[in-house]
Amino acid sequence: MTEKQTVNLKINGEEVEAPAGEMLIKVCHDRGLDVPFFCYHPGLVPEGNCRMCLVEVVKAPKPMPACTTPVTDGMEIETHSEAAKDARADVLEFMLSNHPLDCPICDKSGECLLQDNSYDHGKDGSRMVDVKQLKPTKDLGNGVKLWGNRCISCTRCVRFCSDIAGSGELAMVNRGDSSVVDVFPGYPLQNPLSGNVVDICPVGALLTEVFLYQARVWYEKKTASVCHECARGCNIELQALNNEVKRIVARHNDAVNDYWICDHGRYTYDYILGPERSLECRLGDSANPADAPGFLARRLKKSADEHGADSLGVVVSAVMSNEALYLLGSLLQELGVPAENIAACARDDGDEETFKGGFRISSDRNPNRRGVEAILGKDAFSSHSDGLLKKAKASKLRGLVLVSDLPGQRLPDGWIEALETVDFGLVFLLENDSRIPETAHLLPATAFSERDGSIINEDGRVQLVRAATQLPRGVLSLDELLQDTLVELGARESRISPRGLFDEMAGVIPALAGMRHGDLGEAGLSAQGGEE
Amino acid sequence: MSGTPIEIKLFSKKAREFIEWLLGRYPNKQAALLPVLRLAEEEFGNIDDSSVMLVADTLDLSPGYVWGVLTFYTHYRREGDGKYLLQVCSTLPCALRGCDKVQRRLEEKLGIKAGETTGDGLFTLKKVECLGSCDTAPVMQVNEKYHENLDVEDLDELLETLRG
Repeated sequence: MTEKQTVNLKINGEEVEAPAGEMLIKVCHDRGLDVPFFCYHPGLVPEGNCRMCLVEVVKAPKPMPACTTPVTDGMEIETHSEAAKDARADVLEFMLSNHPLDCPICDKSGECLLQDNSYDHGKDGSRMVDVKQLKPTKDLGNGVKLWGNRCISCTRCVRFCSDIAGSGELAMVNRGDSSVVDVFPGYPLQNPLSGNVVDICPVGALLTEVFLYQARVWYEKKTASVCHECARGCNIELQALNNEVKRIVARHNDAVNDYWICDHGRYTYDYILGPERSLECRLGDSANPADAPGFLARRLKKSADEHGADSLGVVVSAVMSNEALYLLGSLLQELGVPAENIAACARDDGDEETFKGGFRISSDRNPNRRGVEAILGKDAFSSHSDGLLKKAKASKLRGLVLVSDLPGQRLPDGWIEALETVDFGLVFLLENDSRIPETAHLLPATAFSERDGSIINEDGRVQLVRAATQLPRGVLSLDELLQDTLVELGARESRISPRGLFDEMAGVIPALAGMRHGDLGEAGLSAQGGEE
Repeated sequence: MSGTPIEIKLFSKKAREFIEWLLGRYPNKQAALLPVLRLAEEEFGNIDDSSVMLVADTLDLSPGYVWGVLTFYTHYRREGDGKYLLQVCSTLPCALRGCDKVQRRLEEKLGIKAGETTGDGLFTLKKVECLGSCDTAPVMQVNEKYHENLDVEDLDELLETLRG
């Protein structure tokens, strides 16, 4: 007997075909039905403990939780019958019986499932007159704080720590109305994914210390982007207020990171406006960033004319976007600089970590290594670097442009020394570096939150990076500046949009062949031959 | 995290042999948690933090997981519990049959609140969830013994008997 692949059931009177074994809640959500939930999370094993997703199953003696009820043949479901709606409203009334309703001072406010579900499915009053239970407010470790009173005991965080991170620090402690999530004394949260418990907490019980009282979430500008802390390219959402990144949260992408990001990616954004950030503009006599394209065109051209194009060298990083790399490549091509004069500087390797649920942190901390390889060739990291340094030592290098945009990592000494031997030196600088000689020219490097563009992760997936904050007025992002420089040189007509630029680049770079900006969407696309 | 280092405990040879036998009866180590906790209670007289660590190590579980299970159940003797552990059921049938009166009388007589232990170390009073004896509500468990169909008037006598 062959096993049946699909089953037929009725939802709200409509005939529905669904894959056998699928949980009811997924089938309902796929059909756009509003079945509310707290403890259910598509990335976690369902537990069915909150009862918010109760639906009426015709002929069943009582309402059933949709998140743990598999669809079966001939089933008849009512998601919005009076019985179903009543059951859910009653569940909410119980849930609020011990909840402090301190929304005005709760950071979750505005993105809280308890608020949303109460608004959509709750009653307009409470019959509870009893004193509310008091539970602890405390640090759980790794910058995660617990507001016990707000906890609705859904165990999402507990399941995350045991099933996805694999470290199992969190547990529901105590029983009945005094149960609350907590850690064993002396064993705080210490897994490198722990920030995810804050993302998935449906209420304000778990919050991150760094975001505490920083912003009302509804005022934040939210931008879908990609993490730049390792070569995985986890999908993130940048949340900014007043042109400052306030928070980074995970963004769902089944092909890359599921629903999770690591703490390193989550909390590494301080440098963007940190005390070490360099925004200095030093272009000979001018400190005006508006002069940059003209200055760059003039000086590079002069250097190439006087000493030969072979005397120019450029060092890029594997944090830069494909677009910036591509434009830099065409700028140098325009000047006749040989390809081997473009070297790439990699970020130091870190530890490779794989977690129980399959989430992985790559040892390669270069978010766009594959992009550099696709656009400038694999040799950029090795032989080009060696060759360029050799040239500098032999005093054959007369012009040098360095991109120093690796957060927390300064350029190797060799390049700084090379800077002292050239006639024309320019550094795109992210963070202050006292070793850079006075004679070198300076322009601010673009941080990853300040640019539009694309990068290629270690699996060859091309994903879009989007600007969430802006450089100071008048300062151009690197790819804008390079476009304008090319315009100055007469090689381009005018500056074009990130969309146009990507499509142009895709027509030239084999790894991007056939791709269109519009097709990348929020989830990205696998590059040609990218799947390995 | 800092703090006083937890004393390292070990099971006796006999207990280790018992655990070995026990594990053969369960599909995985995690499933043997409740009997191993009971064993730790018997070995060391109660379950303190170092016992939690020992049990977690023995069964390859996180201390957090063991902690969650231990705190869910009220019938394990915990560090600092008095000679007599008075557990008053507070779930619905007992609540309807007046467990709060029982609780209040005990608090008055002993001069402590639920969750506390008397100064002489004789009594610990706990308010617990269902003891599974709803037909004889209200119920209180004193160490291993159930006292059923409780009457507030009987409590004085019971406490006197326990005091000896």
